[in-house]
Amino acid sequence: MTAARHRHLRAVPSDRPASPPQPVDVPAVLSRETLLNARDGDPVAFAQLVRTYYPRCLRFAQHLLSSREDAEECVQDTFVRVHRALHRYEERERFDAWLFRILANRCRTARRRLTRWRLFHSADLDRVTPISTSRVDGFVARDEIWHALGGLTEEQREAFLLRHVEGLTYEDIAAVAGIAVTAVRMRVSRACARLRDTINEADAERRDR
Amino acid sequence: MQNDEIDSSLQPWVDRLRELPESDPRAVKRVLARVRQYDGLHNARRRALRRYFARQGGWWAAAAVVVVGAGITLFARGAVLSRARESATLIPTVDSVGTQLVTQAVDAAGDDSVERLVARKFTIESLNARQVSLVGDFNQWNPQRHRLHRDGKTATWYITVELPAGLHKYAFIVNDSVWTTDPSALRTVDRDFGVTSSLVLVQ
Repeated sequence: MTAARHRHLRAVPSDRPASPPQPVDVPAVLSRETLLNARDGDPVAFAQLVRTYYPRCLRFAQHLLSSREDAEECVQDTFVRVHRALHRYEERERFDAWLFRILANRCRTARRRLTRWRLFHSADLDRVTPISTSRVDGFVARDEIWHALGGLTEEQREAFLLRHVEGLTYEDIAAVAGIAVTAVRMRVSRACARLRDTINEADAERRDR
Repeated sequence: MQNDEIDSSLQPWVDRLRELPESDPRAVKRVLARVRQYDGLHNARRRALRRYFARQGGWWAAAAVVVVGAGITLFARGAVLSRARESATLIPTVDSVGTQLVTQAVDAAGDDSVERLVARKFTIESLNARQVSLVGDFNQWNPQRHRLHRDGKTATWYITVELPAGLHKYAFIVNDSVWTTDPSALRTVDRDFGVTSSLVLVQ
Protein backbone atom coordinates (compact mmCIF):
# COMPACT_ATOMS: atom_id res chain seq x y z
CA MET A 1 0.00 0.00 0.00
CA THR A 2 1.43 3.26 -1.02
CA ALA A 3 1.11 6.48 0.89
CA ALA A 4 -0.28 8.13 -2.23
CA ARG A 5 -3.21 5.76 -2.26
CA HIS A 6 -3.98 6.56 1.36
CA ARG A 7 -3.87 10.23 0.58
CA HIS A 8 -6.15 9.70 -2.36
CA LEU A 9 -8.66 7.74 -0.31
CA ARG A 10 -8.65 10.43 2.29
CA ALA A 11 -9.60 12.87 -0.42
CA VAL A 12 -13.08 11.32 -0.70
CA PRO A 13 -15.67 13.91 0.37
CA SER A 14 -16.39 13.49 4.03
CA ASP A 15 -18.92 14.70 6.54
CA ARG A 16 -16.90 13.33 9.43
CA PRO A 17 -13.50 14.19 10.85
CA ALA A 18 -10.73 13.01 8.58
CA SER A 19 -9.00 10.88 11.19
CA PRO A 20 -8.71 7.20 10.24
CA PRO A 21 -11.22 5.10 12.15
CA GLN A 22 -9.90 2.63 14.62
CA PRO A 23 -10.54 -0.98 13.66
CA VAL A 24 -13.55 -2.24 15.50
CA ASP A 25 -12.67 -5.31 17.50
CA VAL A 26 -14.83 -8.37 17.46
CA PRO A 27 -17.29 -7.94 20.33
CA ALA A 28 -16.69 -9.87 23.49
CA VAL A 29 -17.89 -13.41 23.12
CA LEU A 30 -20.49 -14.81 25.39
CA SER A 31 -19.27 -16.38 28.61
CA ARG A 32 -19.34 -20.15 28.72
CA GLU A 33 -21.70 -20.12 31.68
CA THR A 34 -24.25 -17.91 29.90
CA LEU A 35 -23.99 -20.05 26.81
CA LEU A 36 -24.62 -23.24 28.79
CA ASN A 37 -27.53 -21.61 30.59
CA ALA A 38 -29.02 -20.59 27.26
CA ARG A 39 -28.58 -24.11 26.02
CA ASP A 40 -30.43 -25.37 29.09
CA GLY A 41 -33.38 -23.15 28.25
CA ASP A 42 -32.71 -20.07 30.37
CA PRO A 43 -34.55 -17.20 28.57
CA VAL A 44 -32.44 -14.49 30.19
CA ALA A 45 -29.24 -16.16 29.02
CA PHE A 46 -30.69 -16.56 25.53
CA ALA A 47 -31.60 -12.87 25.44
CA GLN A 48 -28.02 -12.09 26.41
CA LEU A 49 -26.82 -14.35 23.59
CA VAL A 50 -28.99 -12.50 21.08
CA ARG A 51 -27.79 -9.11 22.30
CA THR A 52 -24.17 -10.21 22.03
CA TYR A 53 -24.28 -11.73 18.58
CA TYR A 54 -27.02 -9.76 16.86
CA PRO A 55 -24.76 -6.92 15.60
CA ARG A 56 -22.18 -9.31 14.14
CA CYS A 57 -24.86 -11.41 12.50
CA LEU A 58 -26.52 -8.35 11.02
CA ARG A 59 -23.20 -7.07 9.71
CA PHE A 60 -22.46 -10.36 8.00
CA ALA A 61 -25.96 -10.69 6.52
CA GLN A 62 -25.93 -7.09 5.29
CA HIS A 63 -22.65 -7.60 3.49
CA LEU A 64 -23.96 -10.76 1.87
CA LEU A 65 -27.47 -9.63 0.98
CA SER A 66 -26.94 -5.91 0.42
CA SER A 67 -30.31 -5.09 1.92
CA ARG A 68 -30.91 -4.15 5.53
CA GLU A 69 -34.47 -5.48 5.57
CA ASP A 70 -33.54 -8.85 4.11
CA ALA A 71 -30.56 -9.07 6.44
CA GLU A 72 -32.72 -8.38 9.50
CA GLU A 73 -35.22 -10.99 8.38
CA CYS A 74 -32.43 -13.52 7.92
CA VAL A 75 -30.92 -12.79 11.31
CA GLN A 76 -34.30 -13.17 12.99
CA ASP A 77 -34.79 -16.51 11.27
CA THR A 78 -31.33 -17.54 12.32
CA PHE A 79 -31.94 -16.84 15.99
CA VAL A 80 -35.24 -18.71 15.92
CA ARG A 81 -33.37 -21.68 14.47
CA VAL A 82 -30.58 -21.27 16.98
CA HIS A 83 -33.14 -21.30 19.76
CA ARG A 84 -34.69 -24.44 18.35
CA ALA A 85 -31.37 -26.26 17.84
CA LEU A 86 -29.34 -24.92 20.75
CA HIS A 87 -29.76 -28.10 22.77
CA ARG A 88 -27.87 -29.91 20.01
CA TYR A 89 -24.88 -27.55 20.18
CA GLU A 90 -21.76 -29.29 21.45
CA GLU A 91 -19.06 -27.43 23.26
CA ARG A 92 -16.23 -28.89 21.21
CA GLU A 93 -17.22 -26.55 18.38
CA ARG A 94 -16.76 -22.78 18.53
CA PHE A 95 -20.13 -21.23 19.14
CA ASP A 96 -19.71 -18.40 16.66
CA ALA A 97 -18.69 -20.88 13.96
CA TRP A 98 -21.83 -22.89 14.70
CA LEU A 99 -23.95 -19.74 14.65
CA PHE A 100 -22.45 -18.46 11.41
CA ARG A 101 -23.04 -21.81 9.76
CA ILE A 102 -26.78 -21.43 10.37
CA LEU A 103 -26.69 -17.78 9.35
CA ALA A 104 -24.75 -18.47 6.15
CA ASN A 105 -27.27 -21.14 5.19
CA ARG A 106 -30.13 -18.74 5.77
CA CYS A 107 -28.38 -16.05 3.73
CA ARG A 108 -27.77 -18.42 0.83
CA THR A 109 -31.43 -19.42 0.83
CA ALA A 110 -32.56 -15.80 1.01
CA ARG A 111 -30.18 -14.84 -1.77
CA ARG A 112 -31.53 -17.56 -4.04
CA ARG A 113 -35.06 -16.43 -3.28
CA LEU A 114 -34.19 -12.81 -3.96
CA THR A 115 -32.48 -13.70 -7.22
CA ARG A 116 -35.57 -15.53 -8.40
CA TRP A 117 -37.79 -12.68 -7.25
CA ARG A 118 -35.68 -10.15 -9.10
CA LEU A 119 -35.79 -12.19 -12.28
CA PHE A 120 -39.55 -11.80 -12.33
CA HIS A 121 -39.58 -8.21 -11.07
CA SER A 122 -36.74 -6.77 -13.07
CA ALA A 123 -38.40 -3.36 -12.99
CA ASP A 124 -37.89 -3.26 -9.25
CA LEU A 125 -34.25 -4.20 -9.46
CA ASP A 126 -33.01 -0.64 -9.27
CA ARG A 127 -35.09 0.06 -6.23
CA VAL A 128 -33.25 -2.52 -4.15
CA THR A 129 -30.94 -0.31 -2.24
CA PRO A 130 -27.59 -1.55 -1.06
CA ILE A 131 -26.16 -0.73 2.33
CA SER A 132 -26.52 2.93 3.07
CA THR A 133 -24.38 4.91 0.70
CA SER A 134 -24.98 8.24 2.33
CA ARG A 135 -22.43 7.73 5.09
CA VAL A 136 -19.08 8.68 3.76
CA ASP A 137 -16.12 9.15 5.98
CA GLY A 138 -12.61 10.31 5.49
CA PHE A 139 -11.16 6.95 4.74
CA VAL A 140 -13.21 4.65 2.54
CA ALA A 141 -16.70 5.39 1.32
CA ARG A 142 -19.33 2.77 1.94
CA ASP A 143 -20.42 2.70 -1.69
CA GLU A 144 -16.85 2.00 -2.74
CA ILE A 145 -16.78 -0.96 -0.40
CA TRP A 146 -20.10 -2.14 -1.72
CA HIS A 147 -18.88 -1.85 -5.27
CA ALA A 148 -15.74 -3.82 -4.43
CA LEU A 149 -17.66 -6.56 -2.64
CA GLY A 150 -20.06 -6.74 -5.55
CA GLY A 151 -17.16 -7.76 -7.76
CA LEU A 152 -16.65 -10.96 -5.78
CA THR A 153 -18.52 -14.16 -6.29
CA GLU A 154 -20.94 -15.14 -3.56
CA GLU A 155 -18.60 -17.85 -2.27
CA GLN A 156 -15.58 -15.57 -2.30
CA ARG A 157 -17.45 -12.85 -0.48
CA GLU A 158 -18.68 -15.25 2.18
CA ALA A 159 -15.23 -16.72 2.75
CA PHE A 160 -13.56 -13.30 2.82
CA LEU A 161 -16.06 -11.86 5.30
CA LEU A 162 -15.90 -14.86 7.59
CA ARG A 163 -12.12 -14.84 7.59
CA HIS A 164 -11.18 -11.18 7.74
CA VAL A 165 -14.25 -9.53 9.18
CA GLU A 166 -15.71 -12.13 11.51
CA GLY A 167 -12.33 -13.59 12.44
CA LEU A 168 -13.13 -17.27 11.96
CA THR A 169 -10.35 -19.78 11.35
CA TYR A 170 -10.01 -21.52 8.02
CA GLU A 171 -11.15 -24.78 9.62
CA ASP A 172 -14.30 -23.09 10.94
CA ILE A 173 -15.02 -21.56 7.54
CA ALA A 174 -14.54 -24.93 5.91
CA ALA A 175 -17.19 -26.31 8.28
CA VAL A 176 -19.51 -23.37 7.53
CA ALA A 177 -19.16 -23.68 3.76
CA GLY A 178 -18.93 -27.47 3.70
CA ILE A 179 -15.71 -27.50 1.68
CA ALA A 180 -12.04 -28.35 2.24
CA VAL A 181 -9.68 -25.97 4.03
CA THR A 182 -7.53 -25.60 0.92
CA ALA A 183 -10.58 -24.55 -1.06
CA VAL A 184 -11.38 -21.93 1.58
CA ARG A 185 -7.82 -20.59 1.40
CA MET A 186 -8.15 -20.39 -2.35
CA ARG A 187 -11.42 -18.49 -2.14
CA VAL A 188 -10.04 -16.00 0.38
CA SER A 189 -6.90 -15.55 -1.65
CA ARG A 190 -8.84 -14.88 -4.84
CA ALA A 191 -11.16 -12.51 -3.00
CA CYS A 192 -8.17 -10.53 -1.68
CA ALA A 193 -6.62 -10.38 -5.13
CA ARG A 194 -9.88 -9.24 -6.66
CA LEU A 195 -10.35 -6.55 -4.03
CA ARG A 196 -6.82 -5.26 -4.59
CA ASP A 197 -7.53 -5.03 -8.31
CA THR A 198 -10.74 -3.12 -7.65
CA ILE A 199 -8.96 -0.69 -5.36
CA ASN A 200 -6.23 -0.15 -7.92
CA GLU A 201 -8.76 0.45 -10.67
CA ALA A 202 -10.63 2.95 -8.49
CA ASP A 203 -7.38 4.74 -7.73
CA ALA A 204 -6.47 4.90 -11.39
CA GLU A 205 -9.87 6.34 -12.26
CA ARG A 206 -9.51 9.04 -9.65
CA ARG A 207 -6.06 9.93 -10.84
CA ASP A 208 -7.36 10.25 -14.39
CA ARG A 209 -10.09 12.59 -13.21
CA MET B 1 3.12 -12.28 3.06
CA GLN B 2 0.62 -14.78 1.81
CA ASN B 3 -1.89 -13.74 -0.80
CA ASP B 4 -4.82 -14.42 1.51
CA GLU B 5 -3.55 -12.11 4.24
CA ILE B 6 -4.59 -8.52 4.63
CA ASP B 7 -1.94 -6.06 3.54
CA SER B 8 -1.84 -2.32 4.03
CA SER B 9 -3.89 -1.67 0.88
CA LEU B 10 -6.78 -3.79 2.11
CA GLN B 11 -6.54 -2.90 5.80
CA PRO B 12 -8.65 0.29 5.66
CA TRP B 13 -11.35 -1.54 3.72
CA VAL B 14 -11.43 -4.36 6.20
CA ASP B 15 -11.54 -1.88 9.08
CA ARG B 16 -14.52 -0.24 7.45
CA LEU B 17 -16.20 -3.61 6.92
CA ARG B 18 -15.67 -4.47 10.57
CA GLU B 19 -17.72 -1.55 11.73
CA LEU B 20 -20.81 -2.87 13.37
CA PRO B 21 -24.18 -1.64 12.16
CA GLU B 22 -26.00 0.88 14.26
CA SER B 23 -27.47 -0.91 17.21
CA ASP B 24 -31.22 -1.03 17.27
CA PRO B 25 -32.57 -2.28 20.59
CA ARG B 26 -35.97 -2.79 19.01
CA ALA B 27 -34.45 -5.28 16.56
CA VAL B 28 -33.18 -7.45 19.40
CA LYS B 29 -36.60 -7.19 21.05
CA ARG B 30 -38.22 -8.27 17.79
CA VAL B 31 -35.97 -11.32 17.62
CA LEU B 32 -36.79 -12.29 21.19
CA ALA B 33 -40.50 -11.73 20.56
CA ARG B 34 -40.34 -13.99 17.54
CA VAL B 35 -38.54 -16.67 19.50
CA ARG B 36 -41.17 -16.43 22.24
CA GLN B 37 -43.89 -16.59 19.60
CA TYR B 38 -42.33 -19.74 18.16
CA ASP B 39 -42.01 -21.16 21.67
CA GLY B 40 -45.65 -20.36 22.35
CA LEU B 41 -46.77 -22.04 19.12
CA HIS B 42 -44.57 -25.01 19.81
CA ASN B 43 -45.84 -25.41 23.34
CA ALA B 44 -49.45 -24.91 22.23
CA ARG B 45 -49.01 -27.64 19.63
CA ARG B 46 -47.49 -29.92 22.25
CA ARG B 47 -50.32 -29.20 24.68
CA ALA B 48 -52.92 -29.83 21.96
CA LEU B 49 -51.32 -33.16 21.14
CA ARG B 50 -51.23 -34.10 24.81
CA ARG B 51 -54.93 -33.18 25.16
CA TYR B 52 -55.78 -35.18 22.05
CA PHE B 53 -54.00 -38.25 23.35
CA ALA B 54 -55.60 -37.83 26.76
CA ARG B 55 -59.03 -37.64 25.13
CA GLN B 56 -58.33 -40.60 22.92
CA GLY B 57 -56.59 -42.41 25.74
CA GLY B 58 -59.19 -45.18 26.11
CA TRP B 59 -59.04 -46.13 22.46
CA TRP B 60 -55.29 -45.95 22.37
CA ALA B 61 -55.03 -48.16 25.46
CA ALA B 62 -57.43 -50.71 23.91
CA ALA B 63 -55.45 -50.70 20.68
CA ALA B 64 -52.25 -51.16 22.63
CA VAL B 65 -53.73 -54.11 24.53
CA VAL B 66 -54.89 -55.73 21.26
CA VAL B 67 -51.51 -55.27 19.64
CA VAL B 68 -49.61 -56.58 22.65
CA GLY B 69 -52.03 -59.50 23.03
CA ALA B 70 -51.71 -60.45 19.37
CA GLY B 71 -47.96 -60.27 19.66
CA ILE B 72 -47.89 -62.54 22.70
CA THR B 73 -50.27 -65.02 21.03
CA LEU B 74 -48.20 -65.18 17.88
CA PHE B 75 -45.03 -65.57 19.89
CA ALA B 76 -46.48 -68.36 22.02
CA ARG B 77 -47.90 -70.10 18.97
CA GLY B 78 -44.56 -69.96 17.26
CA ALA B 79 -42.86 -71.37 20.33
CA VAL B 80 -45.39 -74.21 20.64
CA LEU B 81 -45.14 -75.05 16.96
CA SER B 82 -41.37 -75.12 17.01
CA ARG B 83 -41.42 -77.33 20.13
CA ALA B 84 -43.93 -79.69 18.48
CA ARG B 85 -41.79 -79.86 15.34
CA GLU B 86 -38.76 -80.56 17.46
CA SER B 87 -40.51 -83.29 19.45
CA ALA B 88 -41.88 -84.89 16.27
CA THR B 89 -38.41 -85.45 14.96
CA LEU B 90 -37.13 -86.65 18.27
CA ILE B 91 -39.81 -89.23 19.12
CA PRO B 92 -37.83 -92.45 18.84
CA THR B 93 -40.23 -95.31 19.24
CA VAL B 94 -43.77 -96.04 20.18
CA ASP B 95 -42.56 -98.56 22.72
CA SER B 96 -42.14 -96.17 25.57
CA VAL B 97 -44.45 -93.24 25.02
CA GLY B 98 -46.30 -94.40 21.95
CA THR B 99 -47.89 -97.60 23.13
CA GLN B 100 -50.75 -95.73 24.65
CA LEU B 101 -50.95 -93.57 21.52
CA VAL B 102 -51.19 -96.59 19.28
CA THR B 103 -53.90 -98.08 21.43
CA GLN B 104 -55.85 -94.87 21.30
CA ALA B 105 -55.43 -94.71 17.52
CA VAL B 106 -56.69 -98.23 17.04
CA ASP B 107 -59.65 -97.51 19.25
CA ALA B 108 -60.35 -94.34 17.30
CA ALA B 109 -60.22 -96.19 13.97
CA GLY B 110 -62.94 -98.57 15.16
CA ASP B 111 -63.71 -102.04 13.95
CA ASP B 112 -66.43 -101.00 11.52
CA SER B 113 -64.03 -98.97 9.38
CA VAL B 114 -61.71 -101.82 8.44
CA GLU B 115 -63.02 -102.17 4.93
CA ARG B 116 -62.87 -98.47 4.06
CA LEU B 117 -59.95 -97.35 1.76
CA VAL B 118 -58.38 -93.96 2.16
CA ALA B 119 -55.80 -92.42 -0.15
CA ARG B 120 -52.63 -91.41 1.66
CA LYS B 121 -49.60 -89.72 0.17
CA PHE B 122 -46.13 -90.76 1.32
CA THR B 123 -43.13 -88.56 0.66
CA ILE B 124 -39.46 -88.71 1.46
CA GLU B 125 -36.50 -86.45 0.64
CA SER B 126 -33.53 -88.21 -0.86
CA LEU B 127 -31.22 -86.43 -3.21
CA ASN B 128 -28.93 -89.29 -4.12
CA ALA B 129 -31.53 -92.05 -4.43
CA ARG B 130 -31.96 -93.78 -7.75
CA GLN B 131 -34.99 -95.72 -6.64
CA VAL B 132 -37.25 -95.69 -3.57
CA SER B 133 -39.86 -98.29 -2.60
CA LEU B 134 -42.60 -98.16 -0.01
CA VAL B 135 -42.99 -101.29 2.10
CA GLY B 136 -45.49 -101.96 4.87
CA ASP B 137 -47.96 -104.30 6.36
CA PHE B 138 -50.46 -103.20 3.71
CA ASN B 139 -48.30 -104.65 0.87
CA GLN B 140 -46.77 -107.52 2.81
CA TRP B 141 -43.42 -105.69 2.93
CA ASN B 142 -42.94 -106.26 -0.78
CA PRO B 143 -40.64 -103.59 -2.31
CA GLN B 144 -41.86 -104.31 -5.86
CA ARG B 145 -45.47 -103.29 -5.15
CA HIS B 146 -45.14 -99.54 -4.53
CA ARG B 147 -42.32 -97.65 -6.25
CA LEU B 148 -42.07 -93.93 -5.43
CA HIS B 149 -41.87 -91.26 -8.14
CA ARG B 150 -39.39 -88.43 -8.17
CA ASP B 151 -40.88 -84.91 -8.20
CA GLY B 152 -39.05 -83.46 -11.21
CA LYS B 153 -35.42 -82.73 -10.46
CA THR B 154 -36.03 -82.17 -6.77
CA ALA B 155 -35.08 -84.53 -3.99
CA THR B 156 -38.71 -85.33 -3.18
CA TRP B 157 -40.03 -88.83 -3.84
CA TYR B 158 -43.73 -89.51 -3.50
CA ILE B 159 -46.50 -92.07 -3.94
CA THR B 160 -50.19 -92.11 -3.13
CA VAL B 161 -51.59 -95.41 -1.83
CA GLU B 162 -55.10 -96.39 -0.85
CA LEU B 163 -55.02 -97.93 2.60
CA PRO B 164 -57.65 -99.48 4.74
CA ALA B 165 -58.49 -97.53 7.86
CA GLY B 166 -56.40 -98.42 10.88
CA LEU B 167 -52.84 -98.16 12.05
CA HIS B 168 -50.14 -99.32 9.66
CA LYS B 169 -46.42 -99.86 9.91
CA TYR B 170 -44.31 -98.89 6.95
CA ALA B 171 -40.81 -97.95 5.79
CA PHE B 172 -38.93 -96.88 2.68
CA ILE B 173 -36.21 -98.88 0.94
CA VAL B 174 -33.77 -96.68 -0.91
CA ASN B 175 -31.87 -98.17 -3.87
CA ASP B 176 -33.23 -101.59 -2.94
CA SER B 177 -30.82 -101.77 -0.05
CA VAL B 178 -31.22 -99.07 2.60
CA TRP B 179 -34.08 -99.40 5.10
CA THR B 180 -35.28 -95.87 5.94
CA THR B 181 -38.03 -94.69 8.24
CA ASP B 182 -40.18 -91.67 7.57
CA PRO B 183 -38.63 -88.73 9.45
CA SER B 184 -42.02 -86.99 9.66
CA ALA B 185 -43.87 -89.88 11.31
CA LEU B 186 -43.94 -91.77 14.55
CA ARG B 187 -41.64 -94.75 14.72
CA THR B 188 -41.90 -98.14 16.34
CA VAL B 189 -39.63 -101.14 16.78
CA ASP B 190 -40.84 -104.50 15.65
CA ARG B 191 -40.16 -106.86 18.53
CA ASP B 192 -39.89 -109.89 16.29
CA PHE B 193 -37.44 -108.65 13.71
CA GLY B 194 -35.81 -105.80 15.62
CA VAL B 195 -36.16 -103.23 12.82
CA THR B 196 -37.65 -99.77 13.16
CA SER B 197 -40.71 -98.84 11.17
CA SER B 198 -42.87 -95.75 10.82
CA LEU B 199 -46.49 -95.55 11.84
CA VAL B 200 -49.40 -94.11 9.93
CA LEU B 201 -52.95 -93.84 11.19
CA VAL B 202 -55.65 -93.99 8.53
CA GLN B 203 -59.16 -93.04 9.54
